[in-house]
Amino acid sequence: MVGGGISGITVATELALNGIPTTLIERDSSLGGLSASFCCKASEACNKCFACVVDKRVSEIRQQKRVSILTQTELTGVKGGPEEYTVSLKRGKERTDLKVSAVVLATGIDPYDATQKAEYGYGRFKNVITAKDLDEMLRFQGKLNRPSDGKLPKNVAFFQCVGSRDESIGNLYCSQVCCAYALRLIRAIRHQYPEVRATFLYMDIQPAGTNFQQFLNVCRGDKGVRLIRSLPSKVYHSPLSDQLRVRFTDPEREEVSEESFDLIVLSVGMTLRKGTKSLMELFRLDLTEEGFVSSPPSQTGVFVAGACSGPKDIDRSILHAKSTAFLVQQHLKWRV
Amino acid sequence: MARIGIFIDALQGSISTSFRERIASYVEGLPQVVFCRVEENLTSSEGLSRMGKRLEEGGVDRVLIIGGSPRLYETSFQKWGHPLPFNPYLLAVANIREQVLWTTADEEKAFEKAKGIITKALRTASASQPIETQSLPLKPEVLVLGGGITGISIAQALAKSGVHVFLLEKGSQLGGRVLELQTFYNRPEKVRQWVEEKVSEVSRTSNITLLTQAELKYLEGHLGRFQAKIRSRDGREDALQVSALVVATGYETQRERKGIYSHKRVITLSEMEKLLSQAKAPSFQYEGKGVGMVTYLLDGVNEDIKVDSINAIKQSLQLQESFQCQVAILCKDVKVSTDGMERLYRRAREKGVLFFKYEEAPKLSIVNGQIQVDVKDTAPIQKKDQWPVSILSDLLITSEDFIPAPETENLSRILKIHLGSRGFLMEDNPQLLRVRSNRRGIFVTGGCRFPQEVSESLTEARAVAEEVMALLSKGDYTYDLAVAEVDPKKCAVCYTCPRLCPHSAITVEQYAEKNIYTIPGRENKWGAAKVDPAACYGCGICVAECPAKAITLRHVTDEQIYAQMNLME
Amino acid sequence: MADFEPKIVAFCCDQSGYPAVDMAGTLKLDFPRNVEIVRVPCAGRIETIYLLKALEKGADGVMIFGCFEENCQFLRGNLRAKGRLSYAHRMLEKIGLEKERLEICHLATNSGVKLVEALNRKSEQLRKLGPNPCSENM
Repeated sequence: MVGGGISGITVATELALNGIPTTLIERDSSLGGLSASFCCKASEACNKCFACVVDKRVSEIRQQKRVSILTQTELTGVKGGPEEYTVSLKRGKERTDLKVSAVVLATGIDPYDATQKAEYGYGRFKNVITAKDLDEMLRFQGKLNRPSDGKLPKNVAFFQCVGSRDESIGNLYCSQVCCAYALRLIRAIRHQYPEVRATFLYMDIQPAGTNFQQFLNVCRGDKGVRLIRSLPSKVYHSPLSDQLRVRFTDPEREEVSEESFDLIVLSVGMTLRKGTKSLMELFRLDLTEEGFVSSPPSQTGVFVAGACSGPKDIDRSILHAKSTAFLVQQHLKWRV
Repeated sequence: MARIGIFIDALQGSISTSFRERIASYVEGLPQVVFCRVEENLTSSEGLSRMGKRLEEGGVDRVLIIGGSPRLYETSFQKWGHPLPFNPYLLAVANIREQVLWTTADEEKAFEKAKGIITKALRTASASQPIETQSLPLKPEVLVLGGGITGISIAQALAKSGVHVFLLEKGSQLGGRVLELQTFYNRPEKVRQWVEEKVSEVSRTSNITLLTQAELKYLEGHLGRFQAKIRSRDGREDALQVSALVVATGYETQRERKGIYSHKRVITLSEMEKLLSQAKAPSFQYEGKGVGMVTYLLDGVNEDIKVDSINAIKQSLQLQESFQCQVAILCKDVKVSTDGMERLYRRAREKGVLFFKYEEAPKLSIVNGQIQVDVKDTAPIQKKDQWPVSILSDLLITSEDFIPAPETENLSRILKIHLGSRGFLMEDNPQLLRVRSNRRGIFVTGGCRFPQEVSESLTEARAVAEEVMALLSKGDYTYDLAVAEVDPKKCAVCYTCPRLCPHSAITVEQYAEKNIYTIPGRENKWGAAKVDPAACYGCGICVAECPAKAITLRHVTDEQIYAQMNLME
Repeated sequence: MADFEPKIVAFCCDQSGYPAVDMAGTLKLDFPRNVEIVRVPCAGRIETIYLLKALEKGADGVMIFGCFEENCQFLRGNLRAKGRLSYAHRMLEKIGLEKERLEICHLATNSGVKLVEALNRKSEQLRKLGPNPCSENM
């Protein structure tokens, strides 16, 4: 099992429950992957962000008898197949070989590198952050503040579709999770700080989960939130006043307007994790049309699980991982 | 009097040597303590086996670990096996790392706090009682309700893994709602052929017992011993004994018929699917006349269901490419958050499909036998450019309302599983991880949970098969009796607990004992509430609600809770 | 009165409260001093009488840390706890004891920061309210 994020953990747990011994390798020093840094986005009630589920699954996998977890370990080579593979693992200076009956890749995704969107100023302007930065801020500090002066922002803008649905950078897909997570972050922030106003700048609002309509109605009814169908083209920064100015069309004033925001959050989409391409070459895997890992036919004994096969939220990643675990079982001809 | 052995876990240096020594000298002097040993890391298998060896030497009947969070040790015990030569519940943990050392800077204050926590833990350890383990055999037999694409896929998947599946379908044919589609948006196959292949595979699979024109009437029992009564249309009744159930009964659609929606030129997406499959290129005919302008009106009812968008865009491409129609799609938001949809959307636009995004509901009227749709397009930048657009359409295609299937409410009563806020099965709770229900051994999947696209249902079907296999593959279900237990002598049969239990694990049964509520002359007719130990999750809600305090949770008793409060002496 | 350290009994459910306690420890956050953590499998296990007994036997304040609505592992336990807390509030009103001494705080497994903030806030509040006059020890 290559990858110790939520998908890798789910596949390993399911296989272990079925009695199939699994070795899970993770490049970092801890399990959980990207979703382990997410904060709880509840307001008065749970907003179904699934971040807490990740924490629980990470502690649960350590209980499984048939899973051996190797952190700070990478896969450097593979031989054989489809009935048996010999994988070469590297941990610091240690090298080991492992014989396995199947390999599952769940290497996950990286958030889109927002510095590539130079017009938004990420990396240059301190108060332009990504949603991942915001998640970590809320999880580990519990407070919302502007990176430049540590003060509470009076108004926050969320830019959607950063890195997704964008032909100019070749990402012709919807990352599926950004509308939902940005709206949840807005609800969570407004609940903790009712005086903070939020502006949500989008193209099309994508639903997620089963009760999204109700959730969207609550967002629409919140007077401190503006949902505006207009993506801004550029962020201007005036260093003297340390203000960020953004130009977009404001339906209230019925024209293009320029507004200043204390904090700008870029809702970054998903891209394939760094280092995945070399793994794909080792296993002779192709890319999908959208640039994610394409699942090979199951007779090869190589399987792909989670968001590395295409954008997914935590809910669907867990589902996909369970589905992949079943395919692994079928391949191994596991029976009751 | 309990004889307690204490292990201080150094947790690889998290607890400093000096602190450890102070703690050790404090506890060694306490009554009931037989010995105190320091270990390097009790969360490792070596540490645990050393602990086990020391305990095997005897002399103690309770154990206290002074170290980190009890959750760490519970995890290690699960993984490496309990090191205790006696019952694993005769153990207490004093968390002095997370609760004391890591949160208190001053060492004196930390020591005082640690002493308090250790005293509490000693009390818990000496009061702890052993709890046994039981196991329940699980036969590989599963009942799947619903012969739609989800039910069929689950039945096939499980049958291939050696499980015997009873597939129940209320209609006379298998296939369900997917047969309303003619083509898939992301697969080259034709739906009908694809479904027919799957259905014939089902009939060829010996492990699948197909019961058509039959419905579930009654379900009793719990995990491993469900007893289902099936009634067929011809009145025949069958009884089935299964270990687990899968519910895949699907959803219904409801069509708006008021006013203009009853006009013959206003049709639904599924009606359009059928028309498209029967039409011969290059001309699309409707009621004998050629069709030029087709308008789709989406998001009128449900804003959060993606299935309509997918089918509309798929159909619109076919209309523009093969039939030279002009298509306009009116929606609130273009829903592309499904694999491959963004590309399909762009292709549709390239081929000339017009998209209008509205906020106010468009106005519909009939003009000369055509449908006129007046919509205010919110896409233009300046509001002054947002003229109302009038589209004279030969056909107007609307989306239908997605509603739960009519038998869903009854089914939730029979199966004792919850309904969500929109009437579909199961509330939206992330902890249930999608395919689980509130009852152990019953799984809910597919459209009856929420209408979704076929690929998603197929993934869910495999996920359910995985969950069922995880349950059945060991051949039995092993559990601790750390569950709620009703004392039949105190039960007044008030029916509070069966109604409260979120997992429907409590039923009222006939017992052969007497209690104080027995009516003289009716001694052999009374019953008491019984908690099924395999179905109980150990939450304790029933324990807290029982007015007669007849229910106990063996590892979380009142005494243990009061001991943790550290207020009563 | 100035150096009065309020005694708080914190009921932590195994699914959210207790992991949050562990997380607070991992983040090395500052806990108020006189807090007793009581671990329960679900907030639904907490009976009304525990809340009242805690106040009777010397606690200055009681907090319940449970899951958010629609996030309870056992589906309804957190709502039950909320109901019992309201009932306890009505009792306190009748005997004239401040309602602020009993509170429920909803959080998730990863809310270590929120837990400590809630405890610190409660501690401050109780310091202003003063020691529990109904305690047996008074």
